[in-house]
Amino acid sequence: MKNDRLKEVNRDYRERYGFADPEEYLFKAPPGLDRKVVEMITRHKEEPGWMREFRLEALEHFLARPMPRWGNTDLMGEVDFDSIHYFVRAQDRMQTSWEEVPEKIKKTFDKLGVPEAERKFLAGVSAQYESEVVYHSIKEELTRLGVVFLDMDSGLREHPDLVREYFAAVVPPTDNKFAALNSAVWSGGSFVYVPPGVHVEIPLQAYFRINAKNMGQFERTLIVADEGSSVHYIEGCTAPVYSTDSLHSAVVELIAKKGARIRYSTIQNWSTNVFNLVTKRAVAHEGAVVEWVDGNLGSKFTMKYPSVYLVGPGAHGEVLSIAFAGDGQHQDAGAKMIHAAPDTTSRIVSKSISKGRGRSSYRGLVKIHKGARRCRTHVECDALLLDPQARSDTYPTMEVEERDVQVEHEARVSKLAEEQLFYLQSRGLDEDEARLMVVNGFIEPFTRELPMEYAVELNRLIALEMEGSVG
Amino acid sequence: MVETNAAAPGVKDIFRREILEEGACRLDELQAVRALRRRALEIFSATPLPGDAAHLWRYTRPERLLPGAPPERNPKPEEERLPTGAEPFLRVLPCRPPLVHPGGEAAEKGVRVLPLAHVPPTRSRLGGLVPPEMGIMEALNGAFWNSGLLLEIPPGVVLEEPIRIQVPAGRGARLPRIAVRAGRDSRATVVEEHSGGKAGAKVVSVTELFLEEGASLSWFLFQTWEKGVSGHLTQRASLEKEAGLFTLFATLGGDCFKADLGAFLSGKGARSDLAGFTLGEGRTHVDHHTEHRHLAGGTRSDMDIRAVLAGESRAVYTGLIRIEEGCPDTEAFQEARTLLLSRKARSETIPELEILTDDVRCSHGAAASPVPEEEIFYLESRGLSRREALRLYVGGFFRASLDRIPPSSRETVERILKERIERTEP
Repeated sequence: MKNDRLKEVNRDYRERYGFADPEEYLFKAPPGLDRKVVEMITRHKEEPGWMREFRLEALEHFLARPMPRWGNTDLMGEVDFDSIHYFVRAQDRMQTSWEEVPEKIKKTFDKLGVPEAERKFLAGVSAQYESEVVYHSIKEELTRLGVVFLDMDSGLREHPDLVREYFAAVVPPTDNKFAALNSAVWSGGSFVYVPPGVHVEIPLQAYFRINAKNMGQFERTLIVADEGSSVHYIEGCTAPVYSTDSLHSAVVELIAKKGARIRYSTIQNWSTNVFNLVTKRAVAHEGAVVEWVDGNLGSKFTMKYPSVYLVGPGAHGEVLSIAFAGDGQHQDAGAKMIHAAPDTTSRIVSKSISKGRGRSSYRGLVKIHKGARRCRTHVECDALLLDPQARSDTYPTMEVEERDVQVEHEARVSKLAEEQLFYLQSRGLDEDEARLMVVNGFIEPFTRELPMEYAVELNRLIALEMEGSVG
Repeated sequence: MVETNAAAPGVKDIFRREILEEGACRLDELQAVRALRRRALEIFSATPLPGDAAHLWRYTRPERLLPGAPPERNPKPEEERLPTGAEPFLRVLPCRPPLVHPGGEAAEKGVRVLPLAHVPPTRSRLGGLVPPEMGIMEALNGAFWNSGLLLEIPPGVVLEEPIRIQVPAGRGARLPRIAVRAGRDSRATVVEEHSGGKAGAKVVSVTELFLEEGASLSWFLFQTWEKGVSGHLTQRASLEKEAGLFTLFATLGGDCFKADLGAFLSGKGARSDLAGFTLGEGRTHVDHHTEHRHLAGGTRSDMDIRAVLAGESRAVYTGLIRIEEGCPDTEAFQEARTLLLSRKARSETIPELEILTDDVRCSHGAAASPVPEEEIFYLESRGLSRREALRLYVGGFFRASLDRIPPSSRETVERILKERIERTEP
């Protein structure tokens, strides 16, 4: 294997994405976290009293709770909570149209290749720049259908009752240390409500971007699909390179009511200094379907285990994920399926690629609760190792408390097949192209679930990760 | 969980330094052996009881396995009565040198059995594979083991007949320790039988197997304790170049049992094959951990773990395959299957992979499901009762493992299995 021909992951990240606008903020909290910072945030946002109480209680819990003692505790220990800015706000108020979005921010999206695709294709765009949403447009049709698609702060202002009913109903602040942190200092994210029976035909999209040194992003997304409705939400991320570590700790809550359908697609490509410690969880009621399509590239360390609580009979959960760990990166990703009702079904397909000294881990849970009869679940993990020192781990847990169930798990680890590379090279491809083609084939089951422009973008990102010259 | 025999006073209050220094077992041991005990005791005193956040203790409470009183000094003599039979035969009893059945092929070919207490640790390599640092159970045994034997199979010796090692659970606390050194190119089969026991008996056992270059060892581990007996068993093997180990365990008795079995594939071309099965019934609780650690290239390993769960039984299985850096051309496989006979049974399975070399073929699979009704229906349509059909199906589920048991033990295992299935609800 000619590894010297391969280049480091994100070697040319600086040229491609390594731009950073000079910081220019209207409001920025001092680094570190205490009651004062939380009170400053809530006062600044003019939030109702219950949210203030919610944040302060979460803060208590965050401070009291120890760091997790499982997983990559060494990397987790590198997070310095005291050096992080917990709130930064780019502008005073929401922009009402694209024209009003500041030129500098538009330029940033241009470099990311974002707006072209959006303007032509997308209906509602909620682009998050810094800790708050700066641009938000909702197509008239969505409004006519009664669909709410707002940034979370506006959601709280305009639909206080809806938000209060569902906020933290799926991920309580006491769930884990990072969920507690998010609950205390959350800012931005999306709020989506789809009324009963409404099918949102076009995917709702939001772009996230980190752009302040030492600034954490703590967005909070809540999607409620009422009975018989359906929605596809897309979250994409890319971040510029910075020299000091940056923490991203989001909470995403999905609620699919009876017969509803939610698909949540993500491609994350954080710069390789970002700690991405995220809690993503869904509740699926009777006959509902929740699908997580989750792509993890970049970041220094990701911990992310999208889960579905199947609480209604006949509910279905699905996680389809890929992870790419380059040199020095650890992708600790996985999925959880909690079967708490009879006749529920789930499927997890996880594909991971490790390159250089990169490490990717699958960590998952399948739980069949007592009384959840006739459940079926299937988990499939595929790991591809591109270099002799790459690492792959599989840590699945299966807990079964019922008899009439089918629980299946399978995992495979292998390297790039020499015979495939040889065949492609005999057809005139050079080795880099051949490797890229095999890798693209490996993740194809994932790519084909993405909207076309995302699939194209993902293939481009994979090519970037693989080496500099191809693509 | 209701504790019927809680170690309430705390195991550390019971197993104190005085007990160690008094020579609780009058083993007349070497100073070097005593020094290792003292070291183990220090670690034991400093090691907290693992809580459910400790990876291998997520589903089993150590309190259920730990002795509630120090070992008896004089076990009842009836346990020393030997059964008849031609094959070589060892018995591990507390406070006494191992009993050796006279004669047999092993004795003729120069196989030696020595009391562990009288062998310099440089020869027995005591604690070399299961050091007290491994955990609370290993530290307890390391400090207080009260019956131990070293089995030495000389280089080149090939044994046809299996060697049987009997470890009666007895009463109270039992802390057996077994070490085996299989010489270069030797070939042997050993059957380790944990059986008997009075209600409340607790066994904390450690076994270390050293396989030298080209050695081949088949190890059968049968646990057929009576009801009311609980305990923990740790076994580690090291495999040098081209060595081969086949381990088969059957867990068929006891109340609460936890086993931690593993092999280090340290030499190029080493091969370890591990199979095991368990039948849970009543309120039995079993927790098996198996692991293969590949430390050299060209190594192969395989695991096949099967559980049938009836009644309100619970089975936990965690299995690890770890392939270290720089182990090219390695293959490792693992399979765990659970058959659920009852709605009140519980199963927890965690098969793990940690792969640090790219040139590997590695996979694992795990599945849990009920007995397929159509299979039972087919057998019933052929005139079998439901119970018979079930027994036939479970027998088939274990068949691959049962067929590998040496004939001298197979009958016993099959009889126990049959009795257990008879007891389960059809």
